[in-house]
Amino acid sequence: MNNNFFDESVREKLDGHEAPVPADAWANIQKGKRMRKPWPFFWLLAALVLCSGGIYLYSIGAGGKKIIAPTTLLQPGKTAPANTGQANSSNSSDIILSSSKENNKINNSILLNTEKVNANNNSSAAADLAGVNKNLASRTNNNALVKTNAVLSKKPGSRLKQNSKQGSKVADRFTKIAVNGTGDIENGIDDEINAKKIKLSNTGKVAMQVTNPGTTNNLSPLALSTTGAIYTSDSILTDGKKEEDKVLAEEKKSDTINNVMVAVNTGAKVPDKKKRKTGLDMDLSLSGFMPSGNKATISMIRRTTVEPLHKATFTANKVRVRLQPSIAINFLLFKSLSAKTAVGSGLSYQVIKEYIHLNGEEVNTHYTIVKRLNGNSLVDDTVATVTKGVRNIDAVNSYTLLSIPVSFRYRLLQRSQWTMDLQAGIDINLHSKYKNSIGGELIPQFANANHAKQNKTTGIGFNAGIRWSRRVGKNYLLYAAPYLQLNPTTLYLKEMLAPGKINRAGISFGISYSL
Amino acid sequence: MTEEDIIKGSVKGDNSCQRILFDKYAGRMMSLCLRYTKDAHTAQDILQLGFIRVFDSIHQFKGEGNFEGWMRRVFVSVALRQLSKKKLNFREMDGITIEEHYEAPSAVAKISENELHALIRKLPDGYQTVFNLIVIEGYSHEEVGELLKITSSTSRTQLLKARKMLQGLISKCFSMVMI
Repeated sequence: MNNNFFDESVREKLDGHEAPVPADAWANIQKGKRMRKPWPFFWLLAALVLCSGGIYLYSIGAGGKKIIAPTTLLQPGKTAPANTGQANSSNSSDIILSSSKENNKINNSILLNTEKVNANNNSSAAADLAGVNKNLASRTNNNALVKTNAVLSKKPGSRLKQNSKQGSKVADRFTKIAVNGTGDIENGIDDEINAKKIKLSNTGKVAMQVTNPGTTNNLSPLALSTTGAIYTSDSILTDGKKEEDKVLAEEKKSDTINNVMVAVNTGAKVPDKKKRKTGLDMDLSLSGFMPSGNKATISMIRRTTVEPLHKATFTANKVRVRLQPSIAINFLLFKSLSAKTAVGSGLSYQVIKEYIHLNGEEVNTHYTIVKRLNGNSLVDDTVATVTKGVRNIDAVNSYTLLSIPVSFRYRLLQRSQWTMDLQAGIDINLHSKYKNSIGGELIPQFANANHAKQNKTTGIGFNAGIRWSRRVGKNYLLYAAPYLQLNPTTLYLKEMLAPGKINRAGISFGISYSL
Repeated sequence: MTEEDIIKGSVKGDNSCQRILFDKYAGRMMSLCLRYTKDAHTAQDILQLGFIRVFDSIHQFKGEGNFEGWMRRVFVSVALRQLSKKKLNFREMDGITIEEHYEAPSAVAKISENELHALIRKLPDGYQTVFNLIVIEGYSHEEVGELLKITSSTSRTQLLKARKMLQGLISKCFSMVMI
């Protein structure tokens, strides 16, 4: 037969040939299209990583220049809310000084940015203007102590300018401010002074008189009390012991601030940075591990495939199954119980792979419908063609597990930059999925009858390991954690050819972020 | 709705257009998939993966040439990748004795499409793949060599053996008819 003619005949014959399509094919394609979309879990992880990175970058970028929104702004002529005299747990608020000057048309917005607030039931507030007011080193108050740091800018309407306006006469005063409550100001009691500097970038004069319903000491400027206090500049306090005060006094001649109102302790809570810590650590890690297990002895595997006009029976007498190196992605939230201990939980996604080598005999039976002469007429008949052969199959099947790890962490060692923790816990298997890359259902027969195939995919495993971590930023840790995971109960993985107690030895590398 | 409209709709991700394409070509593509594997499960996998790939990359079809031809190339690529991924190594069937027959060329024309299809699937995997690629899909030996990572001379040898075996099977089929 001419080869080209034969080929052409075959091509023509099969051109347009259609085979029956499985009924569920379209549904599987739709499902497959959905499956190809990234799993929400990975989106979640990606979002977490991005958020962590964003927070980290923000914390680096903002540094100590974080501006806290003011809680109260009092206009001239209005009274600041009075302190109740009770202890204020989070203590104090932002302070806004709003000043105006008619003569020189200065309308300054002064934002005193509270940086740190210390709770002190009986704390004192002290103000020290360039060392003038030494008496303020100790004051009694039954309210909060406020630590502030602020910048006063001359630019009308502006807030918190960094004295960058050219041409403005920058007084560049540095002072400290603290705020009293309703209690009397007394000498002789030492309290912590947490006040920071206020930078006055005002070309005008800054001078204030304290209106304190309690005992007023000989205070210098900016010794402030909070009981509905209105501070006016009608009387100027100039102790003038230091050069800065003298300058202030001089500046007063040309420029006076009419009204400065201070609002403090309005009850709005500004959380301390330290107190904002939730004690939560977010761990994200990638683990590589080597699974091992007491494999069941598989004596034989059989697969039967039936389709129209064809039947194939494959019997593998030589079966080799080997678990492959696998990976896991872990996400955990840890809550500190104490300085040394923490407990956490989260999600773990693991992929276990098995390499399979099957060797055996396959019997293929093809049925062909032929025409047979029966008397004078042709009738349909079926001819079975049986062929036998040796088949080798090498394949890698995968098995995915979703589990909830619950871990306990104990700090063994701590150095300035790195720590070593003992971490142990349990893994609760939630969900599993099997990917059989060999077509058809493989039915293993085990040498030991006790290894009858089961569909048990849930169970609990124990894990323990050592976690070395190193601080890489204010809130970030990098860590490595070698670990062992043991399954005391036999976990029969659905469809997996190597059922049994699958133990794992691996190492995790991850990043931890302190929330 | 013309095929061009259907393809444009599929590019936009219109599910109904994709369904129309599936209904139109699924039978022919299933036939192709079955020719590359003896296992119906694997053929179905290839069919599903092939259509997913087609829908993913249908925007790459620029309207040059036949759409079915482009689709067949995609499916062949998926089928070969799927087979290589599984690493299914076969030895030639040792239960078959092929006698040389020199039937008249019209013998092919006399058997049905299904019979011919079934006979091709009886070929050992290597023969089957080479025969499909060269005779039916129209690839050259060089292209087959690149696809299967074999030399072109190996491809030629495989084709010769495949052709001879298929002719033998056809003859056998006919001899049974003549009983």
